[in-house]
Amino acid sequence: MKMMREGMAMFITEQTSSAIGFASLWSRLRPLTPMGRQRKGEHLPFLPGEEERWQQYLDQQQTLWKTVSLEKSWGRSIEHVLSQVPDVEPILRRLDSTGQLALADWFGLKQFLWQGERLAMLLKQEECVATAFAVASLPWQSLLRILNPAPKLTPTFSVDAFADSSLQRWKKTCRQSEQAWRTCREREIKAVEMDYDLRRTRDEEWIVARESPHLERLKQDARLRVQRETMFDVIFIYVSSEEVRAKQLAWEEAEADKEKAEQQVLAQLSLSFRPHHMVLLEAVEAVARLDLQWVRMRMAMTWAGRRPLWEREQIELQQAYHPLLKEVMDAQGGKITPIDICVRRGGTVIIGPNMGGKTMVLKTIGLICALSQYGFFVPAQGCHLPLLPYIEALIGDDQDFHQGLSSFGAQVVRLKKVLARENEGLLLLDEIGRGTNPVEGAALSTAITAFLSKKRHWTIHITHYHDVLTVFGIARYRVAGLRATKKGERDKEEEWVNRLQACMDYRLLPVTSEESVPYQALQIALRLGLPAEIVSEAEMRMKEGRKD
Amino acid sequence: MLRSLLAEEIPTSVAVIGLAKNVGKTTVVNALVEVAKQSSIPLGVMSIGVDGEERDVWSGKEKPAIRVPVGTLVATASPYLERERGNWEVVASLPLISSVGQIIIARANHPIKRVTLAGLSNSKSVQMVKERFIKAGVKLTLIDGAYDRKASASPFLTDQAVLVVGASMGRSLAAVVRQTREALALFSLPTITEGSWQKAGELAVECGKVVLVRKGKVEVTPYSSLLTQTEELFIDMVQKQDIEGLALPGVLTERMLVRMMQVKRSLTILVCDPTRCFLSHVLVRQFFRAGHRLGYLRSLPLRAVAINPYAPQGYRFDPVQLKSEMVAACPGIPVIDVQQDAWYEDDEGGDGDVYY
Repeated sequence: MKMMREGMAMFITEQTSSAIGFASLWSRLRPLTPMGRQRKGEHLPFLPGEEERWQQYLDQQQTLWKTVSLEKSWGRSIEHVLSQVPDVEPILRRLDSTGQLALADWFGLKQFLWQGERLAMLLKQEECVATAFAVASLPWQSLLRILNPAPKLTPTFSVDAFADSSLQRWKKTCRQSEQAWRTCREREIKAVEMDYDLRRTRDEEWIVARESPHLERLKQDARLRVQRETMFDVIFIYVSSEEVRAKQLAWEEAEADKEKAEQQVLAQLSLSFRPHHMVLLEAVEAVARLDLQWVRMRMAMTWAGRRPLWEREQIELQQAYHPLLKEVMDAQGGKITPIDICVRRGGTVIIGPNMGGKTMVLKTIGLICALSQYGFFVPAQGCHLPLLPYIEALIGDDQDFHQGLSSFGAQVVRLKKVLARENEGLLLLDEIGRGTNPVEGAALSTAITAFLSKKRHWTIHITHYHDVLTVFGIARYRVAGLRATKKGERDKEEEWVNRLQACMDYRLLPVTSEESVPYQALQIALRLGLPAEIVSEAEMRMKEGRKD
Repeated sequence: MLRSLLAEEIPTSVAVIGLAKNVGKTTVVNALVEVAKQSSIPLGVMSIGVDGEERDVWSGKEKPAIRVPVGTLVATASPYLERERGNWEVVASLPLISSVGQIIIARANHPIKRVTLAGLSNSKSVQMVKERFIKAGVKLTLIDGAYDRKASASPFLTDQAVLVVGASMGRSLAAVVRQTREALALFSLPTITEGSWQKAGELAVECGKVVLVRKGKVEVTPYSSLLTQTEELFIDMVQKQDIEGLALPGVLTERMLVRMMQVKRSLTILVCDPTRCFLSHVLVRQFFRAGHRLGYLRSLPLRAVAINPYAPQGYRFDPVQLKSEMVAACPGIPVIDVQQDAWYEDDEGGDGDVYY
């Protein structure tokens, strides 16, 4: 388990997973079976070298998706059955180690086989699904038959159902000896009641008032014993005769033999299942796999996902979007702008105005890569990518209070760790060098981009520093930015924030020629309500700076 | 007498509630099980709390066993079925885990001499078991409530209740009769049916919050009960004349009622059902005398009052006297002595003291 967690952390750290929104979506994935929930926690991403297995995994999902789209009620039935599958793994462990199962365990095992058989039957209704999933080809019914000797299969479990065993004979003997004991006992009790004109309570006691003329005789009678006495009454109970005791003993012996026979039935059942232990474990895995594929498919359906395809050297996304952002936009009545981007090995730089959605572009790319490698269909119209050894996102403020690092310091420390990794992964860098003075920040940002452009990482760097664009050999994109608006028009701050979405063109456009960083920060600041005097002064200073 | 309980219209569920420990609840449950068997009513039995154990956990005295006939369904923690495992057919396992084990539903394939029913602790689990019983063909569900869990008899869970009273409630017969009369008085408080009050009560149940009625309009408060941090609410009620009263989602205690009596105008207090009223008769009378009103969103019909003249402490009351006094104290409600009445019915069909 620890190795599993380490394996996951090697691919994506908790920090990155949380920054790109993968952790949030992963936590929403709710497998329907206990084994699915268990396997979800152990699940590893597909890594370089596992391309074939990855595509086979996606093939299975595609088959399910197609079938469920055509047969909606079939899909509901599969979900219903999956949700009924009990947790059989602890039972199988007990079966393997001690062979001793309690009544509820046998029932749990039978329920598992019963639901497995129902699943297999449903899968067999659709030939392409049946061939894709092992659940359909497992010997559910023959295993179920071991627990269900009667011709009609039922979901309940009872030791009594083993009609052909010696158990039935012992049960009959038990009933007969109990009957013999009861009849004999009842005869003697009735005799007592006749002798003294008494009647028992439901608790089989005779309550006799102290003033009763029979009291002394009753006390002397060997068939009776005083159970307790009150101020008013003496309470008697029946004492068995030798004959009744012998019959009771015979009955108890028969009961013990019946108990032994029951033990034998259950021991025989354990023995019958032992050779099938491996098949049962396979069955658990098969159900878990179907379950995980199913819930992945259901989640991807919510974003109308597309199958990711393998591409050796580049990450190419068409009309990709972030499902969590879409949820927010849908709730606000807004509209999301999907992105088109092609990221090759080396450096890719994205520029654009503040509030232009650049960071969301980084998150979207990171999320789609993570979802792909965890076997999901992704929220995009097209997706081609390689399997990456890891994804690392330096997004947001990493200020570390414990280590006393500033934003800048924390960013550098994380970057150092990333650059020390041996193989090349996806690096998502959000404004490197932003936390220090602009001269040094720009220089550092440019130098890092230049360094990474010569490496074989897939690096995407978002920046406001103009100098970064001058690095040789990088791919460049820009957010289209603010559409033309009437300058000087002042809005209330809240209105403007709301209207910004309408004014902002969030499209990601390739920068084909030498293009400068768009200067729209002052316009946005003005619209957000900063005094015009300050903004004018800033504009003037900027123009002077450019002349210099 | 006992058989007539289920002879007329069969309820879908009956809760057996005791007014004290050791009043004879299990005996009543067994009697009802037997009557259901004689009337061929498909039966399911469950218990809130632990019941059916061999010895009383407090006194250590042997307790009567819960016996069930063939075909009865029970809900209990799975280890309790192991003793007679050959006699049970497991029908379902529920997503309810008690401290003893998972709750399962099983059908008796043979007569069961002693079964421990345990593991259900709240109304949600009772509801779940009831649904599974119905799915498995049960027509009558018996809910055996532990003596301190009146909640098992909530009308939100059960149609009717049998109240069990007995000698273990007190040394004097008069005291037992008085306590029974007071309990019945609480059960027989009216349901309040006016539109705004029904709405307030339903809202209180739904939100789990105290709901005010102000000028005929309902208003949900932030308080989930009157037990704590409700000083502001009391001040409001004293000062603001337009508050007509409130609906409670939970219990009503004596302390709360005393507090309400400080409001010097007529108030209405709506409680969900009788199982949530923990009040003395004297105080309720005072409350009404002061011009206030107290009632329920939903009442709980009492099917019968079962009496038990014997106390496990070793004393007893005269069964005939106890019965006649109880009949007088419970007008309109059948009074049953399950120890004796069944014998009269089975054998002689008349009166008479069979023990003397």
